Amino acid sequence: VLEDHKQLIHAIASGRVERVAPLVQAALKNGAGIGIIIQQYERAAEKLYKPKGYTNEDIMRSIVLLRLGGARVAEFAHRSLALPSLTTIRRNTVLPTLVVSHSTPTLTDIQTNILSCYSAFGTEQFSSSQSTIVHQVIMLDEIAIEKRVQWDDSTNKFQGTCREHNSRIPLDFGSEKELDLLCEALEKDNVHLATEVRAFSTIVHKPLLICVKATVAAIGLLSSDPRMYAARPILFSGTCKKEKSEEHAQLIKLLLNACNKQKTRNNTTYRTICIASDGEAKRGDALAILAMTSDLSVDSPIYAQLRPLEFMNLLVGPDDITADKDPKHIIKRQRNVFMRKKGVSILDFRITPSILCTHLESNGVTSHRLRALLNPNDKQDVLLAYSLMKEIWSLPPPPAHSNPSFAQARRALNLYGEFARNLVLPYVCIDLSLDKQLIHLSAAAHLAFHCYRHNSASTSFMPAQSYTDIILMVKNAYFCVAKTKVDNPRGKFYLISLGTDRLETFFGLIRTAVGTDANVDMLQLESRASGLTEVAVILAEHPEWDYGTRRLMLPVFSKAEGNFTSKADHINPRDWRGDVSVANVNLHSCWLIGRKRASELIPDMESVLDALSGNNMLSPLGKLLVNQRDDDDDSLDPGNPLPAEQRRHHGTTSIPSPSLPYTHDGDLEDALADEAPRDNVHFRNCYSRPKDIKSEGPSPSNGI
Amino acid sequence: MAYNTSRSSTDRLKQVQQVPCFDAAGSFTDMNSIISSDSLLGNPCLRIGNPIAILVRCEGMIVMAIAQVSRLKFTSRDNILELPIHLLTDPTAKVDAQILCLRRATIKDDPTQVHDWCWSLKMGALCDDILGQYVHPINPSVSVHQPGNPTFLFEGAFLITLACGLFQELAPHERKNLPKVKLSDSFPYRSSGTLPIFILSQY
Repeated sequence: VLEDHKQLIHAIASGRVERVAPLVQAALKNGAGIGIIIQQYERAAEKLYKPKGYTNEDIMRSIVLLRLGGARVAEFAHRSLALPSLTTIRRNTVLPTLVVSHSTPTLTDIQTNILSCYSAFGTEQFSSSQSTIVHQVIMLDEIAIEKRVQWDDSTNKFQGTCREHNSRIPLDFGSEKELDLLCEALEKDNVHLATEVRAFSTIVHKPLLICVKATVAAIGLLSSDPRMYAARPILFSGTCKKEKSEEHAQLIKLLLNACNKQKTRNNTTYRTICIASDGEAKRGDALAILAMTSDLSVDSPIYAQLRPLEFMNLLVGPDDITADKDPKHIIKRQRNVFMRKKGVSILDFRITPSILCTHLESNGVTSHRLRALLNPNDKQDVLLAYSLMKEIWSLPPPPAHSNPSFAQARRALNLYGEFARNLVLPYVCIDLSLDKQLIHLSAAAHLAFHCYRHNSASTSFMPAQSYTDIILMVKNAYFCVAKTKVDNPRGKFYLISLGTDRLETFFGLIRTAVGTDANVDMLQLESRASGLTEVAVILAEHPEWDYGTRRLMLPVFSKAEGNFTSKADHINPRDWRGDVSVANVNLHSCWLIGRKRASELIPDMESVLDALSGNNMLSPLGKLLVNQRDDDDDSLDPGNPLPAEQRRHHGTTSIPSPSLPYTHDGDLEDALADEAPRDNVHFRNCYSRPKDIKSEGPSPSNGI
Repeated sequence: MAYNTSRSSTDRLKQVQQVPCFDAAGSFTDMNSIISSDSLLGNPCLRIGNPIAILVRCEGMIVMAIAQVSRLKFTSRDNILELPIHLLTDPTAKVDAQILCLRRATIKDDPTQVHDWCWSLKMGALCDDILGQYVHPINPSVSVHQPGNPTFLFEGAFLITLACGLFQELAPHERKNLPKVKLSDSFPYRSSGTLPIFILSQY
């Protein structure tokens, strides 16, 4: 017997068989002795016997290989590493395919997706010591997709038409007739499709059937646990962007309903505390309809914390839900504000790009760096925006004997720099504690409030939409902390978890999942999103397998270093070093200290604010700014007035109505285009809108 | 972040065409001045932030205003940082400016009492796209008597002469080209809250 054991050790040491454990397990299970085991080993070495007995890890490993590398890689792993075959992998997937709504999304679609994302093994294991209420945010954004209709074999439906208009044709593929009807409908609209891409036409846009973008909604849990951090997509729906705000609000309401219906799982309550979006105007209107319906009730548990905050807008939606805006989009737009033709008016002093340039140059910024910082054609680079803000707040006070107008401009820039510093630091300086983050945000909000009101500067300070978004973001941060203090008093709150960053990361993964093809159509979106969510679930279970995004390994902005690196773009809770326990935070003190800091910078601010009554930060000039469009269109070239239809789209109407088609029915990029100078090469002679240029070809990487 | 000037475009199609990442066709392509002189020191130039005198229309009157340059345009070039003065007469030369609010100078501002007007450090209305030919660069004295708050000083007599000079150069048909400014507390300039001054004509 001893001899046999030695023989086995020899055989194993020879390494001729990769997976000895399943071999031994299978043999023992069948009651085999050592002799048989050795025999089986020899057969396996000669490739006459293949032990199966795959462990869970083996299967998950193969799933990741299949989803990230495709069938060929999975097949290779099966043959060379003795991992499960494709059939076994497909039989053992951990996540059902996510549902992509072919028409208007239904409650069932969304609920199915929520269940799919969270029913997968082991993703909901909060230890008993943690609170049973977990907060989550709903993130909404759009991804540009290929304009292509495909037949979905799993549902036998046509995929790739827009939810707004596809009710006109049958989507079920039963016979040739349905296909003819679809082709006919598409053909009829093709004329408009072509003109829409080159968007300077004056033709009134007729309904398109092919969707140009897909609305994607995802749930992000507010948890520092890396296993729970990744966004879980729950809604995919094609759109031609002709939806009205009320219709879009209905869609978001449906999402909320679905989340509420699925809020209790495994003895844990998942409470949706805010709906995050980028700066898109249409969604902004829809969020205002949903999340700003009534004043915060006196009975609300967070009322006591938020009531003392002077000038805070207390409008909320059902279950005290608030709207959120993505901080990075806001900061990007601050850079674009400086490139407006009319510049930025800071306490009456107008800073034009030339003035900014002179000051940055005098502070040692080289001309090629300046060109990059102020390049009007590079609006999507978050890091560039951070860098410009930092260059502005690094400007020293004016020298004692400088030219009077230079000194005055420098003072205005110093003030703006402080505003920008207070706005940016809470999201990038990883050493800040939660109360310091809130103080910075309060200071930024008070400075913006005062500058926006000063001599009715309003849009000459910054566009109303940018201002509103800043205030909504600050408001949401305070509300979310208050809710965490009530629901989870000993918990932590990561400010950086708010916004749509996680969804943007998910889009990045979708675009890079297949190296040669950055774009997807609706059907591909379905399979890629399902595959990637499955990978995310598996990597949540096995964080040791996950390398993370490469750039995430770089250091970020910290107090000691004081410089931005590209890491500053995506920061996650694991990187944060400051204390973010909500127990140590008093919202009222943070708000007041922020205000005090702002009034130290503007001495007469206190007296002005004291005299105010009835204004809050969202109605700085007495009228609620949400759902408003700027009246002035001086960013447009007066020599080339827009056709009536386009003027309407550019928001020249003085009576704002949420039911009108939107000012920016495209993406944030459209909003940016309006804020940015119109006089660069691309916009001089034509009114091509960036959305249309972009939708034509591969989407540029978002920079975030 | 180290800035690499040779970084190529991140757009794959542009990358193979060797298009640089940072588009040099932006409005800041050439921020240098326009060289139009052989002199080593160059011509006298109007720069961003320089004070200028302009005529404006306000409530049916033509009024002189002191302003500061906030943007310079010449031919197709926007946002240039300086412009030789002799090129101001070019029809493509345009200036954006912001009016400076003037007040009576006190002994604190100018102990010599030579100057009777000074800039209150407040800013007034915006005047955009003023034709260069209507812009008159000025070189006022600077008061540094209030620490940290330097300001410009002006002599009333000089301002009146300047205003008359500018008005005389203006042909009647050119009046419509002057920028319009709204009446405010600080403009047209007033001497201790009384009647506005530096008004040249009704139009």
